[in-house]
Amino acid sequence: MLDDPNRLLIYVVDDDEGIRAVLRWMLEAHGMDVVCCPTAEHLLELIDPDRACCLVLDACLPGMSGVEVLRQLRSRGIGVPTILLTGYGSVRLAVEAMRAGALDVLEKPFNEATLLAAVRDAAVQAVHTRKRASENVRTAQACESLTPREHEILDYIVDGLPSREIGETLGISPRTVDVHRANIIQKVGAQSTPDLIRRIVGLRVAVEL
Amino acid sequence: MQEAARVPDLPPRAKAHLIACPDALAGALSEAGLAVLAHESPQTLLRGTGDRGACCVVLTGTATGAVALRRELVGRGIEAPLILLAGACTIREAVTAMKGGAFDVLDGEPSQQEVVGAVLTAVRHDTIRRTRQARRGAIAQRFEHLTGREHQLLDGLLAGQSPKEIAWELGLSARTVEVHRRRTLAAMGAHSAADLVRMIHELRG
Repeated sequence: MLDDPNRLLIYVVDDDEGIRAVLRWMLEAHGMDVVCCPTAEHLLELIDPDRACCLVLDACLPGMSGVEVLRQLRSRGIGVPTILLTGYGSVRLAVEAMRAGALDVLEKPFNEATLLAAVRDAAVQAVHTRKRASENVRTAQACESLTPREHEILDYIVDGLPSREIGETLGISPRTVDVHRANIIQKVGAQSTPDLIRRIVGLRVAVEL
Repeated sequence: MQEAARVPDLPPRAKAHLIACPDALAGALSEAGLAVLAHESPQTLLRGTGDRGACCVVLTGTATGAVALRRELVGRGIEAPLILLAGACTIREAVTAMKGGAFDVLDGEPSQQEVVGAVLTAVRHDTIRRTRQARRGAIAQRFEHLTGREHQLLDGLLAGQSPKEIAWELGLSARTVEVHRRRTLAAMGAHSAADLVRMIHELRG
């Protein structure tokens, strides 16, 4: 079941083995597919943006904190619906988590019904965010492989400038701009200039929100 | 990749609406360069003329109060960020306020500096939001005035089709498509097809 890409996956991240076991048991009892990780670093390595998923995340982890994970995911353009669990958290932490994009913050000990209701809300969202997430991740990765010059040209392309004007601004020939443009399109895996812009704008919107 | 100047300076005449907040806070916010309007209750704010220009609402009250006020404001087309000074407040209540659209919740007895910091962040956020909204509004207006043919052309461009492909699909000559393409770009105020695509994506979010 874990290999079926059409099934929703729930990642549970908590450094406490006992809590991981309880969460796994609760969620699996309701027919959900669960993958447990002891740390944020494990999660970031494991997470598959092509797969609809949501996250039950402990706020207080060794290494990267829960809120930091939310920010990391967002900066990669992956908006995973997330429920943050806090043991002895503060209002400040909860507010920061919500601003970083958490769907909900629950205090430990939580009751089963509250958790399940929150996970179900997250699951509904997950289906909506999935398609966008996988494209954004590929775009973000591709952007990392661009040279500084290509980045510069990409910005102008996204602003909608034609090759002639980009060339004039950068003091290079339009032909050279076209060569860069073709390379960028190929690296990003876009079909055309409009498709390139659509992908980049989509990524930027996801990262900013 | 990021635009420069993500965080603009405080716009002139940015307002802070304070509801049931201490006078000392009003003083500190004026000193920080904001026009401060004090209200006794949410009702007095809502009775006032609608807001125009960057602003922020600061409410001393409960999460339920914040959610209700936010709903009223949004219902009137006022999407100003709302900061709740919640006093003693549980995590649950803070999360309720955030889910209800609050921009920030400060619990306990925050220092004046903390509140001023939160208000400035909120006002800057509102400034960016307003700029985007205005830009989107302008694009939407031009978009609505396109002719049927121009819409077809736009759809083709958005799908990444070349002028040739568009001509074939619409049963037009390449020259006619070129004329329509120019007209569509001019009608939208775009300086290239790429610019046009960017506009439409901004419009559709």
